[in-house]
Amino acid sequence: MTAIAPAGEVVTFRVGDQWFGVDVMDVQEVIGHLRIARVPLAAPGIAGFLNLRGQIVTAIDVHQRLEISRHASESSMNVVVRDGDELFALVVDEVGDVAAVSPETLDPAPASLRGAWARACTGVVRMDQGLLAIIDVTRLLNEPNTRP
Amino acid sequence: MDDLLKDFLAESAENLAQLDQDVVELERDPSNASLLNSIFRAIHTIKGTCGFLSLPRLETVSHTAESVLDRLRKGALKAEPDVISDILRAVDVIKAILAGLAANQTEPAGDDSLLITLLEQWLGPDAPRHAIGIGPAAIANATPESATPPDALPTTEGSPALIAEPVATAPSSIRVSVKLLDALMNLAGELVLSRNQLLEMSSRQEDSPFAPPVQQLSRITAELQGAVMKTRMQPVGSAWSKLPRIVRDIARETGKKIELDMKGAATELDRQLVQALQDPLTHMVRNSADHGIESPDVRRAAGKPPVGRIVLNAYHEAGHVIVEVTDDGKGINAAEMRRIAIERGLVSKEAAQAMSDCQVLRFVFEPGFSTAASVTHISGRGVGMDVVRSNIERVGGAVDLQSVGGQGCTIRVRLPLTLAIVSSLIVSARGEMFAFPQASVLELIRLSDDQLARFDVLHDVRLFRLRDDLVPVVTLGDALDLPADERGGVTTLVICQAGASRFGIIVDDVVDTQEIVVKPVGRLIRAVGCYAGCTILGDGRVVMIIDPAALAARTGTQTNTVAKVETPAPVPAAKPSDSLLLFGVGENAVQAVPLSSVARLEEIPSDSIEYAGGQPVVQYRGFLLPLMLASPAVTFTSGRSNSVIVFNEGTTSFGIAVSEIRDIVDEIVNLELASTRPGVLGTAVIAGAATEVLDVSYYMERARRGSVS
Repeated sequence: MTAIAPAGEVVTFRVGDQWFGVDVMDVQEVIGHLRIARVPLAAPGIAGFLNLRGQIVTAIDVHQRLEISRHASESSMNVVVRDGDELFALVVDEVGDVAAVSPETLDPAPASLRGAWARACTGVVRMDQGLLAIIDVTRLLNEPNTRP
Repeated sequence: MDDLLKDFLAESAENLAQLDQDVVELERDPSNASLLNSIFRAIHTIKGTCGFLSLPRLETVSHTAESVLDRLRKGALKAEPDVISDILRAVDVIKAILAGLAANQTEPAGDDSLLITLLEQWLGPDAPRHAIGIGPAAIANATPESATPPDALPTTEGSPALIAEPVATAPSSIRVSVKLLDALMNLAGELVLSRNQLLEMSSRQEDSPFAPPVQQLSRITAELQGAVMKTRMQPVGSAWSKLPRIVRDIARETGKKIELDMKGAATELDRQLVQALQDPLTHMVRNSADHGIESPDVRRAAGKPPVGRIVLNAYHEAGHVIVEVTDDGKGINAAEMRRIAIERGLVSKEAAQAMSDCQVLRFVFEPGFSTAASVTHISGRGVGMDVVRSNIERVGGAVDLQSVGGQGCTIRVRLPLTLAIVSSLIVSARGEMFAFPQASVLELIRLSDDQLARFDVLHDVRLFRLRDDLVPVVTLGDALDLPADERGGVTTLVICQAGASRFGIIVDDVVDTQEIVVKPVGRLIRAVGCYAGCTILGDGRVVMIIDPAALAARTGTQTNTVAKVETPAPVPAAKPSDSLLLFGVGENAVQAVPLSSVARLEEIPSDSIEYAGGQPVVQYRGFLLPLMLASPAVTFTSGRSNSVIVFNEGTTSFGIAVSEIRDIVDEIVNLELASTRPGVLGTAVIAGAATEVLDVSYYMERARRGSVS
């Protein structure tokens, strides 16, 4: 499970009805809604650019990346993650707590996952409220940019 | 002071500061090979450069010290205190000479024979003495007072003859990591944005008490930003300073006469780019001097002035810096290149024959390709044009080469300006804002709706009549796949220049002009290719910067498909891989003409065609343009306009009437059937159809005769 640091903490966020977790070490900050500048011709899954205090951040539309249908009138939040030297914002519906993940509660990703899920999801945590899908940030970002 | 000397002194001062410590450290740890290597390198660098600057005294001392160090390095000598002392003495003398150089720009006088003797005792009995030029004259001129007998050896702390005053090499410049400069750049950029917001707010309030301090803040911010920018910018000339010397040396060695002309040395670009440019540029200039320029005799025989010229030219173009190296030497023979390329298996014979000369010339950038018949010691050290290209491409640049055999060669390097602040034009298209680098914008033209509807269309390409030019046009919104929105009224045509080509981009409106900080786009967006970067406007909005050249390439709007009138095009016969203009004559027949010979395409109403002596003419820009028919099958139909291809050479212009303009194709022409009638070169298969190729020179001749009579 390379997706989680030894401390085993993940930042949780919700997209659609699904809760996800990304390694707390990959996350720089969580910010509220920011205006996203659309980038014409950009691959699907790229929402555009946002201006994070003068720094250009590529915003990733997690709905589109993971093929999750969007509820209308939902306000968005940004989980700013660092990958290499670059910052990316994961545009999500809601950000939850930082959750500790112990090895006992962590299961490998089900082999039956397909597509982007199979590539990005590295494990599943059983929580009281449901399942938390652990996402590898780098893999999510490098998801092949296929046009639908 | 000479730039070369200045660089040398700055570099040496740094080296020497470390050298003292290293030598002392070596005494403590004589087996430390890496330490020894670093000392050797430092001395070696000094020796190497002073040969260049012709500093014989410094050269002799450093050379001898280097020889001793070499023996140490090879283990022939042990790093004993005596040796170390002597090396330290040499270091001190080197410092003294450098200090003298810094003060007077000339090597201070002095006698080092004692030091040399001291050093040479470590070289072993059979080592060559005075391996490099300490001439007998230098020894004879030794001043008596400095010729201390060997038994009164000065200690390192002693003798004024050997030891200089403690050299004040307190550096006037320091090294700062580029990362820190980048951070400063970003901060300054952010400050500018905050300033812009403040300015906007304070301008909304009249008599705001904040107005004066905000003005002050604004001014200081601008200055700060300028200064921070400057820390990263260097004139491109600093990469050139060593070139005159190199060219002179090559000229002397090869008996050539070469003049080096440097233009635009003040053109500034990012420091890293200047550095990245230095080696490739040196290599290109060396190539030009060594392989390009011929000897005076050969030049005279070829009818050229005996003095060869190499021109360096740097300038800004479309948000890029262009550096050109042009020589008027023998150029590169495309046929020869083709032969070598086939010989080395870089390309099949068939493919090579099908390639245009331009494409063939690009083989010089392939690894392992050298056209130099003999590898001289000046060039040809295994660093070829392929390395030039990869070095340039590593910093996001591009390099291209043009050459006419016998007439010289031009290498064009295009470098990006990613870190620069550029002035830009902010435009809107379908509700979105975009920035154009101001440097690539030639002019703006307001278009009314009916002008918009009246573009000429050639094949699928819309063309705009810009005075004497036909300029291909794209709509920004279409090119970027923006969802269409219905809006009428005026639109604006932005005429852009990218490289040699011109084209128009239709936008909805021009919003503003602004100085913007170009920020690189993230890796996921870079793949799109038509953005030069992005920027943040005063209101915090992120706006993409359009790279007009890339946009044009994306939409296929290259203007080498359109000929110009200003440069009277010569009228060549169809050559391999020309762009060809296809036109219909009569019902089904198609003819072609090399596009390069076409001056303009006109639609001429039949009513305006007059007849003079049986010859149809049309009043065209104040003179009479004779019209000829491409084929008897072409007729002027009254009440309709007629397609006319206008040709122009020198003072002769004429039009050829055709039935319709069909297409422009890039194709290799193989004439398969010889001509059966005058005015036609022959028949070839073009775009899958039998096509007659027009003999322009035939019509040109007819037009000339007509104009004489």
